[in-house]
Amino acid sequence: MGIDARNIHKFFGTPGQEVLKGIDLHIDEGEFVSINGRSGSGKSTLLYILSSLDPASAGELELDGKNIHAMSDEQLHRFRNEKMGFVFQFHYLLPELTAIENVLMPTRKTKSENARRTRAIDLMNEFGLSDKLKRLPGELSGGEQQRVAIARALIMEPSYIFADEPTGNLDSINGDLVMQIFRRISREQKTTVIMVTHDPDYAALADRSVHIADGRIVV
Amino acid sequence: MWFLALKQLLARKRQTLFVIGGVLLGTAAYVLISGIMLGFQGYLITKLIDNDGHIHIAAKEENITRYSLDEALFGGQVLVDWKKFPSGRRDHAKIEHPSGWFELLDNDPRVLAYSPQINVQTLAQRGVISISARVVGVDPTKQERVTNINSYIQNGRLSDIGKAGNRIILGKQLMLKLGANVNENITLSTGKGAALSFRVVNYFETGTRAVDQGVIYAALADAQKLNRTPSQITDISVKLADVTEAKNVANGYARFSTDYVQSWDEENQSVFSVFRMQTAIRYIMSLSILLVAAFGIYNILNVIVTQKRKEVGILRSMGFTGQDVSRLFLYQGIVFGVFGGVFGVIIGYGACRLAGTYQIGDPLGTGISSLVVSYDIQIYLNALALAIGASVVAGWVPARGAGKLNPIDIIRSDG
Repeated sequence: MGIDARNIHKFFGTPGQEVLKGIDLHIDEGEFVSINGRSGSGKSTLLYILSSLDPASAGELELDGKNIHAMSDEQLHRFRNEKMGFVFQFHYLLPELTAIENVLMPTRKTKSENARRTRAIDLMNEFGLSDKLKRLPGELSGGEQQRVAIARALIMEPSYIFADEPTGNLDSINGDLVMQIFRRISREQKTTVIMVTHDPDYAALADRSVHIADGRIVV
Repeated sequence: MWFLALKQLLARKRQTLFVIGGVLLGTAAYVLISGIMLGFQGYLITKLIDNDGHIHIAAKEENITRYSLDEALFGGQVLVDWKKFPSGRRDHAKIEHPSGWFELLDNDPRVLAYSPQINVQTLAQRGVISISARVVGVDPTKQERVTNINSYIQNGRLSDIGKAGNRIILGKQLMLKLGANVNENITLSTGKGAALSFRVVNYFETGTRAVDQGVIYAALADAQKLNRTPSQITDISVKLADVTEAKNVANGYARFSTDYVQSWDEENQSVFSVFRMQTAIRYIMSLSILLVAAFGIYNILNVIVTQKRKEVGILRSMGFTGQDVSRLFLYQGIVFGVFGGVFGVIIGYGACRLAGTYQIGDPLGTGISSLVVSYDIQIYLNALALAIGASVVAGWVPARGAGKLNPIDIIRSDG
């Protein structure tokens, strides 16, 4: 189980520039993995291919033991909704919705927003946002916005968290807070966390670091 | 997706109101223009129908041609060469088999009422003044059931002329020209025999000058006596239960009769071509307004989709499908259409009520002095359908584009 990627290739543009040159990677359930490497090394591309958001040009990908090519579009979307959470460098909160509405947005896919409301409030309390439930994203600080975004990623109790430079826009205090959260969900809820970062200190907090250079995994 | 669609609309209140206002104006304009035009058409049609029945059966006036006498004189087997062609007209037109018509009309369930008439050209005289006029001999109770003549007569009704007794009701203009008054006598002559004296019992005013200046209603028997053609009739006016059936029924009758049978709409072709023109103008005007409104919707949704690319990406990462994303924007288009349409219809209705109070005088002399406006439910349904239809189409194009956005292109931060 977990994530199993075999011989992943990715080309961009014409003539094809090969960004990923045959990646083999297995990530266990509950593992906290950081992917690091220089800008342009292909680390974000790998993350999005592992999350099924971006299709690989060649190679096989299994999520939870299921080959994603064998899944219908509807199954894939459902899988993404129920099993995956995304955290990006920028928070991408919907500006028209309050913090709590943003956190509950993924639950609207399955119309379970009322059932999950208590969990949303618990998550926001846990992240020190108990007095910010009804605030619009524009009224929150950068660190608060990112924590709301993480709460949104966790609302469906996903098995996988994909984080693309989640601390990239944060100061060190807020960055540390985010890392603590990842550390805790990985340890306590056995959530698999895959995080792209170029910060060596944060990369070192993961169970395992995968280094990418020139489209290949370097050990 | 409704939740987010409405939230996004509410977050941009001014823009939303502006777009809804565009649709609203188009819809209201359609309702107002249609109301006024259809009201006018309906008014004219009612006048046309009610003044003269739905189907008009008339005797054919037959001219004598070079072949007319061949069969009667020579049995039709011989080629006849006339030194001087026979010419002229049969002495007077009449319906050949009135009883056949009466039986047919009595037994046709589609016929509500009918009125046999005789039309006689006369010279009306009072003292030294004489004016040519047409005497319409009717059975007043039957005529009343076919036309609304009674609504043009003040303080009385057509049946005041009775079944016989040389009483008449005539057009007001004609009465004034003759210098006559109610309860005075005038003489009518046809040139065929002695003039007869008739008593004016009342007058009518339809607003149609030709009628008010030239028509006299008399009892059928009196008119036949005046014309020296007892028991002959020249016309039958028929009223149907369903006006729209008029053409069918008339065509059916015409197939087995040599008389002239026409429905009211065939007799008033020119009016209908004007109506068709009006309808075309009405649609073109309303559609161009709606087109502008729809273009506004299209434009604004396009801008919104571009502004919200990042959010589309994040929605897709949450597991929402491209279809869900399309719906998010399509719903906004629908909101524009529904609100613009509903409020447009309401405001259009208000504008129609206002237009209905506009005084245009009483050109047709019918006692209706303000603009006639139609409140046909069909106008309102059409307006709603147009507004919502235009908005859905205008919203659909950008919405489909948003559904096709590739999430990964939107949210990738770097390589």
